[in-house]
Amino acid sequence: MKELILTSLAIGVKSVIFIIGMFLLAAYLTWIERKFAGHIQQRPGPLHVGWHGLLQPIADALKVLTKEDIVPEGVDRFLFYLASLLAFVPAIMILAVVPFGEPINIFGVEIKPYITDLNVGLILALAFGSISIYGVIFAGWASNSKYPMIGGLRKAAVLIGYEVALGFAMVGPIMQAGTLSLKGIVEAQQGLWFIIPNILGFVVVLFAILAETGRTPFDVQEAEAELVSGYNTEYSAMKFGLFPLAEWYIATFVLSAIAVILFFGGWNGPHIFGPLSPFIWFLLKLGMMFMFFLWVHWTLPRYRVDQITEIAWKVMLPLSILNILIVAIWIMIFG
Amino acid sequence: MVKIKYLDRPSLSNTERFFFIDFIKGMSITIRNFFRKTITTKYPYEKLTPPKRFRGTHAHRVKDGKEPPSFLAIEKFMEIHDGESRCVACYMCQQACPVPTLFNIEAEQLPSGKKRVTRFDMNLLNCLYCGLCVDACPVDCIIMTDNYENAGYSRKDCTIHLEDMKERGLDFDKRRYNEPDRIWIDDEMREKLWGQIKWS
Amino acid sequence: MLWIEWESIAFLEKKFPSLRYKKNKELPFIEISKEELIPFLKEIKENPELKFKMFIDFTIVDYPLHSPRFQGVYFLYSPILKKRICIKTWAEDDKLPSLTKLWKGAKWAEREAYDMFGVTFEGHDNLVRMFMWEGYPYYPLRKDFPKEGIKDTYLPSLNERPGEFPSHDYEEYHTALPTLEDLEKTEKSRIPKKQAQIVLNWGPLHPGTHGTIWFLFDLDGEVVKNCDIILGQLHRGIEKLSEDITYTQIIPYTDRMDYISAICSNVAYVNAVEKLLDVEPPEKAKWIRTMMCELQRINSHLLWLGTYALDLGALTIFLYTFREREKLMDIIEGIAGIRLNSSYMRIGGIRLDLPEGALDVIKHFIKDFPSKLNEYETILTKNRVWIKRNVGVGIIKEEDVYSYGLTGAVARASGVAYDIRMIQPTDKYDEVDFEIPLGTVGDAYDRYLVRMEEMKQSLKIVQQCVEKLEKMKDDKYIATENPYVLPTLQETFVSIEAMVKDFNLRIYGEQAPEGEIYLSGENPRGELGYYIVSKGDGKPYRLRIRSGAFYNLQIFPELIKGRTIADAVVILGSLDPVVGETDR
Repeated sequence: MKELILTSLAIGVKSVIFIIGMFLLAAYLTWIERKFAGHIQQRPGPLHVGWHGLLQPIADALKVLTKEDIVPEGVDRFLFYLASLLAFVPAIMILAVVPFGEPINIFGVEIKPYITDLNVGLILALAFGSISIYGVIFAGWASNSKYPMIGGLRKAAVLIGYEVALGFAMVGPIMQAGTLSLKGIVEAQQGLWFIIPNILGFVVVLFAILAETGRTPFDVQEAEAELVSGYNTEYSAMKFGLFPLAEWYIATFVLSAIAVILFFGGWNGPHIFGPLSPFIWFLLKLGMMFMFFLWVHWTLPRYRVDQITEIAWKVMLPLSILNILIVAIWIMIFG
Repeated sequence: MVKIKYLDRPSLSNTERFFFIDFIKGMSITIRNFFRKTITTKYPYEKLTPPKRFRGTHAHRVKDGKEPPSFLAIEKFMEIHDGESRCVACYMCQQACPVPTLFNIEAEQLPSGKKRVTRFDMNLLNCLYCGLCVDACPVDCIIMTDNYENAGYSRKDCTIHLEDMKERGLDFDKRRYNEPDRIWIDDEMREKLWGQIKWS
Repeated sequence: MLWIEWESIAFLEKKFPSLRYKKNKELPFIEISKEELIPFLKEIKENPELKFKMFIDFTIVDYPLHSPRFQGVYFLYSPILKKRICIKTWAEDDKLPSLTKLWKGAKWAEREAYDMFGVTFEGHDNLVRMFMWEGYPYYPLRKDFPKEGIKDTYLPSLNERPGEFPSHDYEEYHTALPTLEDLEKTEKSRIPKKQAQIVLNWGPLHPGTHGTIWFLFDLDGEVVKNCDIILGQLHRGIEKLSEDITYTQIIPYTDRMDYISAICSNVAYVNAVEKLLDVEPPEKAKWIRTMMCELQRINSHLLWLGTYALDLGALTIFLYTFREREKLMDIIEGIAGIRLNSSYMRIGGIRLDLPEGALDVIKHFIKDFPSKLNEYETILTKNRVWIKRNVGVGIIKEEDVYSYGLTGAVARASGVAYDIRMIQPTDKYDEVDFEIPLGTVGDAYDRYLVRMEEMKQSLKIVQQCVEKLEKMKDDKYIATENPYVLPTLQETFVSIEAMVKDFNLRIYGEQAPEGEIYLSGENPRGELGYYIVSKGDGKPYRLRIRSGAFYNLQIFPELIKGRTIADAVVILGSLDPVVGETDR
């Protein structure tokens, strides 16, 4: 009984810390993106609010929270409100299974830097990612307008194809590690990182993450020139603010965490930073992966919808199945 | 001589397709630009100076001894003291303007037989900023200054009158009368965008 | 000699008895009666020796004192003989036969003529108004419609105090404004019946259309079944305004049409007026005009590339091209005085001489620009996403180029070598060496490649002009000894004859001799032609502007049938319209 209360208290406190930390981190990820995009385009980005724009995310948050919330007349009110939540909540829920490092010892108490360690953690992460498709479809349907409907349908078509490809591509590391728990996959990479036999799978996972989070070259749902703003045209104030926050920042962050765990060894690395070095390695790899996604977003043009679905089913799916074959041969040869 | 040239359409080879070389080359250009200095002018803390022939808000020059010979020929018909605008009410600027109702010029005949300008209004909301009025003035009175910040809150504020045109002309001449007619005068501010230019 | 001579068409006189060949100072034309018009045009289109198959322009001139009041004027071009022909006919009973069976490009030209003059066309399939809304009661370009319009709507200002007039020319009565019902009637008259599911307004306020153009798409899922375009949101009536102001005062209006390449529009207009008045500008002015035209062409193509890449999702290229445009704008601001609407040309030369240091800056730009152009090509030209988006989209065949009257880069990408700089060189285009790029297939990718190559060729021309201008430091830049040319300010200050000439020319206008002229220039967007009719006054009797962007946009409904909305962005971007020029 005492064990139950202590564990639930620990999980509760950790969840609150994680959620608040995620919000603050997402706000400052916007600052990183704007500065990075600015310097690629030879302009400074946010500069005047605070030193080099560091208070800009707080100003943006205040603006979005205090704007007038306009709900058009003909919308389906329940679905309209539910859609923005459904896009946002699953992205944070994936955090429940992502481990950030090894258990550390502070004053004799062992603290585990993850909320839970399920032995089907990877499937849960994939399932949560799939729920967020509903948010997009509801947003497009409930808005009762032509442009959001077209945007919602496009995104749904894209996401269905890439979820399948993502699932198949993840089979490779699972076969090599032998377990579905994310902590177990990291521990199985003490010797060789799983990127070496899984190159094709890595490429498929890269493109699938770009499609899921809605970044170019796959960002059809908010192709500004064609559809004004896609499925979130009719949203305003905080409901509008939740959509890009959930998609572009939180989902990218969390999905690149999963990609790092699957392919780049998680927090494995030489112990040169002292006792906290697993965290620092993990955050470094995560940061580089995130910056790579930003770099791709701000360079490439975007595909047309039917070309994206064509690539998903005709190129990505066969590549991921080929990847499974290669990993199976590797395991047979090297044990 | 003019020649005709048929263009060939490039296409991707198989190795380029497989190793994503086209993406990598494009992304290398972007990251190269990341390490260059930024080129923005941080307005309103830093401002570029427009060149001397910039066509901004209009102004009147005053009688201060630098008038052209054509003014001295017409001067005997007008009552203009030192420090007042040189306008001789010839209505040439109004004739030259493509917008018929932009100018509102009135002059009165004094009992001594000489003319004096009483009103000179320009409705800048309709102005095309073409400079035809400047080209038409025979006594070098109306000029265009380098002031481009003339926003106001009501329509009345956007009509300029003789008094503020005279002040603007005095201010412009004090700052920039002796400047050479160069393409721009602030080389340091423009270096961020242009780099070093070899002047002859 | 660009116009056809009498000897080449004399053999048709037996077949068409009402044929007359006349010459009106600069413009030889053919007059024919209304009944024989369509057979005559069919004959000269299909005759293998003549082959006048390219449609240039159609317009109407209003002579209220003549018994059939309206005269229709047609311009055609033959790619085999490389000559133009002008055909005029009188419209008895205010009706004319429609040309849409012979040339598809006549559809919009006839709609515009109906809208502005009230002339109906028999055989046209959907004769609605082009710029004004359905239900507008007047015909604006007729001579009895006043220039200020008919002010019958009471519309006081909303935020000024009543009784206190804000400026000396403020009026409370306004010309007619459309209401929402009028707009809905216009929309319904365009797409006749709803065959498919939704009619989507790719509407006047949209970040993807390049300006305020109103498209109507008849959609079936995401595939477009039918399309029509409603223009006129930016119609300012420049042709009507020009009938009341002198030739010099029209110059600031001409650079507000195609506001991105203002200097090219100025140069085409000034060349036309100079030909009418027989004025020859000095050598230095011609070299400066050529150089500024080509710099403006680079400017316009950079804006096209930036917005095209932005519409397709490559967001950084937009800012890179605007970085180069900032440099070009600095050059134009230093030379002409203002960045965008620089009315820098005057009849007989240019307004002001080059300032000191201008040639150094231009030389620095010439050295720096090719590396930047290389950067854009590395990111875009061989990129697989770009190729997939552009190849095979919006293919224009050679016959469509002739039938619709397409000009500019659109025509050159389909393999038709039509460039006004080659056919009728004005200024110094016959003394510079450059190449004209031609495409082979005619899709959007070819149009992209043609425009990128044109930028490189323009840079070559600018380099040759700079070399020539370095030797001409102190030459004259405007031909003020000609009686039609306004004197410079320095001359007015010292000589009384110059002041009197200035007064006369400004008050009475340039008294042009009676005559007509049609001259065109190569705008970055197509052929910009001016047809000026002068009756011996200081003001033109009729100024018709043949805009390249207007005729280029006409092929859009044809190209979009059967494709999705995503391709609409690609096709519209590669046709490159500017609303100031399509709407005038």
